[in-house]
Amino acid sequence: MNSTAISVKNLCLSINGQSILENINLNVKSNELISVIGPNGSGKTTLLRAILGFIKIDSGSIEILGEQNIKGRLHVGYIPQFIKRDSDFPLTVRDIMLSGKYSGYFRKYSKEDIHSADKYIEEFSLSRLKNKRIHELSGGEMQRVLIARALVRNPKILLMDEPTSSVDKKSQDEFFMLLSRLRERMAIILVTHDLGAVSTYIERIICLNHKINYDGPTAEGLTKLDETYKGSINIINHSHHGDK
Amino acid sequence: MFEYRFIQIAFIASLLISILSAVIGTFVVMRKMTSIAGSIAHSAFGGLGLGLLLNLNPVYIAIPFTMAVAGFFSLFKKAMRISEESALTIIWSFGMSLGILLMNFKAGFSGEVLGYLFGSILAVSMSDIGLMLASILLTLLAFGIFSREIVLSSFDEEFAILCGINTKLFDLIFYMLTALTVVILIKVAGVLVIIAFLTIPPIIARRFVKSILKMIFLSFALNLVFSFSGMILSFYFDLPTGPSIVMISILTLFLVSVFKRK
Repeated sequence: MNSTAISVKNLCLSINGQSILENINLNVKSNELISVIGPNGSGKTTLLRAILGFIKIDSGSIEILGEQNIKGRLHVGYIPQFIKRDSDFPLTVRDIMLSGKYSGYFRKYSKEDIHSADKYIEEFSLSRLKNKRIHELSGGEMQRVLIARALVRNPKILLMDEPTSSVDKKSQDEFFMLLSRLRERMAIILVTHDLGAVSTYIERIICLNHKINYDGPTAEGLTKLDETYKGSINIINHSHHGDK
Repeated sequence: MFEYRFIQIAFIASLLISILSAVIGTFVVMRKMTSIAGSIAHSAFGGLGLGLLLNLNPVYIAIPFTMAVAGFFSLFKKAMRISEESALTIIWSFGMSLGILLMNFKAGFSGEVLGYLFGSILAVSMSDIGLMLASILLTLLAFGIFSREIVLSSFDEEFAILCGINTKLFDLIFYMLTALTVVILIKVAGVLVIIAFLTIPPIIARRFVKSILKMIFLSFALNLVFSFSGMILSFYFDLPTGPSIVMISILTLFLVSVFKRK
């Protein structure tokens, strides 16, 4: 049960000659729920994207479920902070949910796929929105759709980048309760600024500022945080700014 | 006016152009590729000029030439050390300049430039119709088989990658089909009309529909209305056909933008 979900060894990454990640070593077990925190521009989003193989790394290795990340990423659900989408794209919420059931070339969606997508639409209280186009959704509703779409795929690992940045306090609490349930069947890495919620729900945190400054229990990490970052993180910060 | 054979053929050509540009145009607009389509269209001039210089059918030379340019851009756009916008502008001016330069070496071909800019829908031959039919078949086949992959990679490329879709391959296929469409239609409709055909109807259509398929059908209907009304207008008022079609499309887009908000 406690096998390794993600293994990052000696990862170095630079963009346009500027070092973004320096000698990152990270091991995440299946069923672990961890949070990556750090100031804006510290490389949090870049780390997630490197794990997924979306960005070329300079050196080091990244494995997902024991396979090279390019292969292993098929088992990962990723919820980006933003998607580069055209808000006029003529897709409904139901179309987007169904796309989560994509299973390969020449394979049509089966009745089970449609049933499963509908089940998640209901579970995530999206029934009212299912025939709406994406430009009709609020930021929080779109975020819920993206989380539900990622889960429709039954991922073994979930990577989330500031998933609560556009939702209200009540929805945030519900969201963290959901994560606590989900960790029973998957590893979760959560990038967030919201240290208030992290201190309540997350047991292990990674403090990142180009390199890992701390990796361990949340309670201990939060006491060292202020010294490490010299106040560059707001302790309960619902900032909407993303990483570079 | 329908008693003339050339008019009959022109209307058939409009029907075929409308099908091809509705399918390709819908994705050009959804993928925010209108400037890319414009650059590909203008790069076709290089191939046309080469064909004229070599005394070969310019369209047959322009097809591989334009597909090569589009394929190169699709494969290497992320590796270029200049911005995508700059690269497109260079492709645009390179194609046009090369084409006009090569056409200039052939005496008596200066009129060809204007012909390829606005096309000559009233001078369509049966071999042009054959070429259009073949490319419609190829395009519909590609979109019919890979519609989910093309839609997914157009909407959210990173999610498509995580689903195991080879987005680079589908990007390349789409660029190739766009290049093919542009060259096939260039003689009939002209570069400026093609750009209007590929962009204006889908931009109007997406305001009214909730699915890609409906967007394609509505774009097709709009293309048909614009080209038929443009031809009728040009026939009765002795106006150039291509610019008439473009002006009717733009006027409709303006009216829709004013009266139909999202």
